[in-house]
Amino acid sequence: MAELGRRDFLKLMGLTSTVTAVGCSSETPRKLIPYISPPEDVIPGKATWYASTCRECPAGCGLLAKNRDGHIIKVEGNPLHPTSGGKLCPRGQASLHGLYNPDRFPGPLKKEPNGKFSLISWEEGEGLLIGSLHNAIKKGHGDRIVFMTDLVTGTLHDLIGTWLKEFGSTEGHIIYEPFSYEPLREANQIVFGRDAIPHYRIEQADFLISFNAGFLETWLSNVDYARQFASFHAVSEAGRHPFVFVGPRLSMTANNADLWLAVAPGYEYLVALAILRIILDENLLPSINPEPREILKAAVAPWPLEKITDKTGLSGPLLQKVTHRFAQASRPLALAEGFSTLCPHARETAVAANLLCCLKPGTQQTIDFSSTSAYGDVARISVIRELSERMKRGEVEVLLIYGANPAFSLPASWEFQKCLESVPTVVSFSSAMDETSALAHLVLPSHTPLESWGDYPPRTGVLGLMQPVMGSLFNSKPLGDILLSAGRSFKGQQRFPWKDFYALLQDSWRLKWQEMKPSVPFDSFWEKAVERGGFWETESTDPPGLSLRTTSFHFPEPDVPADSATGFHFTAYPTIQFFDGRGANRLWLQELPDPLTQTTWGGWVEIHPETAEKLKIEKGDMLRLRSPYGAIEVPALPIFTVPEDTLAVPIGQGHTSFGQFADGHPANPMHLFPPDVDPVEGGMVRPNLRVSLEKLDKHLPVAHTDGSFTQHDRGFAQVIGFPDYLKGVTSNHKPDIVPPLPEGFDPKRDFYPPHEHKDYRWCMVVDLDRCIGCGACVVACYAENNVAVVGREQVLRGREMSWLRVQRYFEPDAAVAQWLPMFCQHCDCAPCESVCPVYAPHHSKEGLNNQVYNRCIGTRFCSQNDPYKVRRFNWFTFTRPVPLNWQLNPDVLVRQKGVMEKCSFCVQRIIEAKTEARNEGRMVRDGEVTPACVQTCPAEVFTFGSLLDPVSRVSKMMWDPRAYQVLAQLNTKPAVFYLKKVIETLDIVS
Amino acid sequence: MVDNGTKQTIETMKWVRWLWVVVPLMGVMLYLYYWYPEENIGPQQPIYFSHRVHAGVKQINCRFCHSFVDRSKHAGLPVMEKCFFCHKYIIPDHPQLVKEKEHYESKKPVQWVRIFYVPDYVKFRHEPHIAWGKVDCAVCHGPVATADRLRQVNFQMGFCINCHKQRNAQIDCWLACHH
Repeated sequence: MAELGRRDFLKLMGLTSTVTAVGCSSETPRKLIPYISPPEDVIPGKATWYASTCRECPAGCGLLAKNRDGHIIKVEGNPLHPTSGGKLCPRGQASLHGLYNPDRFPGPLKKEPNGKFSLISWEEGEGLLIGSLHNAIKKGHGDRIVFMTDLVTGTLHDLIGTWLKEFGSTEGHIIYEPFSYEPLREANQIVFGRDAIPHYRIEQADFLISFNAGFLETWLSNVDYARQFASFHAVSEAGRHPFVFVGPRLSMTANNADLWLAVAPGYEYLVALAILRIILDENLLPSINPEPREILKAAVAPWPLEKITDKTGLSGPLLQKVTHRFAQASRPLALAEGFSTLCPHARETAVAANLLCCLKPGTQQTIDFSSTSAYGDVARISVIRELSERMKRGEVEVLLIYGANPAFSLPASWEFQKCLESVPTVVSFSSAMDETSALAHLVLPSHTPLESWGDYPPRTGVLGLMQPVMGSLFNSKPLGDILLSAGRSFKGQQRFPWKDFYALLQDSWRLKWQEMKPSVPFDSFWEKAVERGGFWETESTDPPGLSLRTTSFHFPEPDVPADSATGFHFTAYPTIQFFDGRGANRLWLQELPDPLTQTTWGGWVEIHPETAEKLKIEKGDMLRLRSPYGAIEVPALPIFTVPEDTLAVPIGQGHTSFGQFADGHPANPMHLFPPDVDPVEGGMVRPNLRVSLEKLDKHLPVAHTDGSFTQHDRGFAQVIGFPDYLKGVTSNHKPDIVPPLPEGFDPKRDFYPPHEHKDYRWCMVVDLDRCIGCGACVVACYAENNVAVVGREQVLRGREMSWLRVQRYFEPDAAVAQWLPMFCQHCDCAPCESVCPVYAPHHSKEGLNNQVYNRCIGTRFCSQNDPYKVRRFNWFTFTRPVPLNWQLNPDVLVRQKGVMEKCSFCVQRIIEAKTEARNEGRMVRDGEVTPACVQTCPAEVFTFGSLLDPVSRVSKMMWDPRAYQVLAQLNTKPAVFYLKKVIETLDIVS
Repeated sequence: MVDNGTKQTIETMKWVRWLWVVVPLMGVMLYLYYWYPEENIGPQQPIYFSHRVHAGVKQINCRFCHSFVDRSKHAGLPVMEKCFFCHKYIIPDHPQLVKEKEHYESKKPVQWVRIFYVPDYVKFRHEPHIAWGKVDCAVCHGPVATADRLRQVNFQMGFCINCHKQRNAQIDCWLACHH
C-alpha cells in the first residue's frame, strides 16, 4: 500500500465527509404492497384474533393469536376455554418462538452417507418416505412400521391409527411423553379402580396437600390448576384454605404452600401414612365406615408415628397439627406427583394420597373421573422399552417420529441412540432440529401447531380446535397432508378420499355434530367452533363416586442404598420454563429467570449454602455428579431451596442438537437415572439413589439476575400476619399510603407542585398474596413490548432488558421466599424525571411516567437516580435473528443503542382502549385496559385502572388494609400499590 | 540554497494551491445540495398512476381507494381487484393497465413506492385525525388532486405540534406519538 501521510489523510477525510453529507439524503425507498383481493376480516393496521390451541405441553390450553398485517405478534389465553380461561403460562406465551424459530428446517432433508443433511425437494422427500414404506410392505413387514409421536389426540390420532392399519401395523402408533405418570394411573387403578388421570377441582377443595406434585409448574395442566389454586387459596376475613407441600425441594409450588414439609426424595408417602395413622389413632374422623377403617388400619399398622418421625426427620407435633387441620376440612384433597423419574416410591406416594382422598365424602367433588386427562393415552415407559428392544433386534423397519424427542429425554443409559441406529429408516416430521431428528435419515418438516389445522382434546368433554393463525413461513407441510398423500399413493383414493387434512378434520367434526344432534346446521356449528376455538360442554357436577376398591395395601420401607452415608439425595425437577426440555430453544424462556433461583441461560445444581461452605464449593464451580448410572457436569448454585443433604438439578437443559439457543448449556439430569422399567406399573424404575459430588477445576459463571438472597430489611416484599390483617379489616384502618394524586402532595414535604391529571390517572395494584412466581407476566411483557433478549454474556453483566421482573427474596430464616413483581412505579414524584438533562422521562397528563426514546441521549442519570432499578439501558442495538423479527409489535418502537427504556403500562393498549371508547363517545370503563402482564396472569395478581374514577377497582383496592408502596419513605408516591402477602394462616380454621 | 523561511512559504503555497480545488468543489456540492432548482415531482411509481386524473378530473372520493382512513392506523391501499371495478370497462387496453393486469393475474402485487411516512419513532394513526379531528387530507398530503405524481413531504415535528396546539389536541409525548 502506498504511504498515506497525515495531511493526505486529513484531505481525504474532508472530502469523504462532504460526500457523505451530500449522499445521505437518499435512502432506500419504502414499499407499499397492496392485497390482490380483499382478505376476510382484515383491516390493515388492525389486529385480527384467531382462536387456536396451545400445544407447548399436553395441557392444551385454548389461546387467541393476534394477527397484525399477516404476522402473529402475540398469543393470549382464550377466555372462553375451560382450561386456560384467558390465561397462559410462560411456555404458552413463548409458543411464538417455536413458530419463528430461526433454526427451523428450510425444507425436506436427506442424510448423506457422510452423515450431513442435504436439502431436497418435497417430491424427492415424499418419494423416499413412500419408497421406504413400500420396501417394508413388500417384505410383508407392514407391522414393522412404527409411528412415535408426542401426545396427539383427536383427528390426527385417528388418522395415524387408520394410516398404520392400512399398512398392517395395528399397534404401531406409540405416544411417547417423558412425563407419563404411570404410577399415578396405577395408584388410581389400585384405589379407585380407574386406570386414568382425573380432572382435579382444586377450587372446590378446602384443604390441599401436595406430595411433590408441582401443579403450578408442569403437573398435568398448570394454567388450569394455577387459576383454580388462586381462587382456592384466596384470603378473606374467614381465613384461607390451607395448602401443605411435601417434597424434597422448595419448588415454585412448594413456595406457594402455607407449609413446606421437607423430606428426602422418596419419603413423601411416609407423611401421608403419618396423617392416616394419626387420624385413626386419635379417631379424628369417626364417620369413616368400619370396613374401610379396617383396611386403612391394616395398611398403617407397621407405621407408628415415631417410626415415621424418625425416618423423615419431621416433628410429631407438626405432623399432628397438619393432620388436625386435614381432619377439620370437609373437602380435603391430596395430590401426588405420580411420576417415577422425579422421586422414588412414586406409586406408594400416589396410593397413600389417594387413600387420604377416600376419608371424607366431600373430597369426591374435587376429583372428577368423568373428565379424564389425555395423559391416560400416553404409552407406558414399558412400551417404549419394548419398542427399543424391537429396534435393537432389527424388528422395526421404518420409524416415523413426530413431536417426540426420546433421544434427549430418555436416560443416557437407555442407549436410545443405539436403538435408533439399528433401524434402517428413521423419518422425522419435526419442524426444527432436535436430538432425535439429528439421528434421522430423512426429515420431512411439518407445520408447527400454530400453522396447522387440527384438534386436541386435553380431557374428555373439552375439544380444542387448532387453525392456522398465519400463513406458513417455512418450506414445511401439515403432517396430516403428508400422511394423506402417502396413504393415497398406496391404497388409492377411496381409502383416503379427503383432499387434505382440513377436509378430514371437518368430516370428523361432522360425526361429532351428528352424535350431539344439535339444532343448528353443521356449517354454523363448525363456524362457531372455529370462532370459539373448539367445543366444550358445561362442566358436569355429578359427584363421581370414589370408594376404596382393594382390601389391602402394603407400604414398603423406603430403601436405603449402600452408599447412603456418603452420597447426596438427588432430585431432578421439571421447570415451568422448559417442561421436559422442549422449551429450551425459546429465547424468552432461556432469558426468563427461574422462579426460585433467578437463573437464566443454562442449568445448575442446587446445593445448600452450608453444605457448599463445608465442601468449599462456590457459586459457579463445576461439579461432577455421579450416580451408579452416569455422570453430569454442572455449575454449583448454593441456595436454600434444598435441604443440606440433597442436590437438585432442573430438567430441560443439556441439549446437544436443539438449535443455537439451546445447545451447550449444562446439563441433562436424566443421565443420572437407570434405564430400567418397573414391572408393576410400567413406569421408570427410580431407585433411591445417592449421587456423589466431585469438585472440578473448572468454573462456569451462573447467569442469575438476583443481587442478593434477602431484602436486607428494606421491606420491598412485605408480609402481614393473619391476626394483624384481620384487625386491619375489622377496624377499617386505612393503610399508610400516599396516593399519587394532588392530595398526596404536602407543601411541607414536597418541593415540586402536584401534577394535575386529565381524565385518567393510571395505576396498578399488585396482590402479592396471589402471586405464584411463574413469570408468565415477564414473558408476556417481552412479547408485547419488543423487549430485547440479551443472552448469557450480557445477563452476567447485569444488562438484561426485562421491563418487568419477578424478584425473589428469601425470608431471613431462608425457609420460604417472597416474590415481588417489580416494574416502573410511574411515581407522581419520580426521581428519574427531575434529573434528565433533555427531559426524556417526564410526567404525562394521565400519570404515566413517559420515556421518550427519540429524545433520550443516554446519560443514564435517570437509572442512577431510580430507586427501583427498573430502567433498562440499551448497551447495544439488540437484533433478532430472522424470522424472530416478524414477531415484533408494530405499535411499539424497537429501541436502539444508547436509549433508556422501561415499563410503559402498555401505553399502546391504553391508546387502543381510549380510541375505542372515544369512537363510542364515552370514557374508558374500568377493566377495559389490560396491560400484557395483567392479561396473562393465571392467578390474577394485577389490577389496572384509573384513580380518577372513584368506583374503579384500583381506587378501592388502594385502601385495602394490606396495601403499601415500595420505598414509600423516599416520597416518590408510586402509582403501584402492593398488597402484602398474608402469613400465619395455617392455624386459622375457616 | 533556500533558507528556512522560503521553504516554509513554499510549503504554505502548496497547501493554498489545494484550497483552490477544495473550496470551489465544496461550493458546487453545497449548491447542488441546497440551492439547485430540483423538480420535486415525486418518485416514479412502477405503474404510472395519476392522482390528478382519479381524484381531480374524475372526482373519485379519496376513501373509495383509501377506505380504512377513518377506522385504522393506515389509510389502506386499494386492493388490486378494485382497480378493475372500473378499468375492466374504462381504457382496459392502456399499456399501464395491461401491466397492472399482468400483476393482478399473476398474483404479484405492485410494489408502490411509499411517499408519505414519518420516522419509526412516530406512531402516526390516521383514524383520530380523520374521524375526530376532521382534518382534510390535503393538510398533510398537499394538493393531491392536481398532481400526477405525489410529492414527498418532509414532515417536521413542528408541523404536527402547531396543529395539535391550535386544535387543542393531545400533545402528550407517549400517549400521542412516541411510544
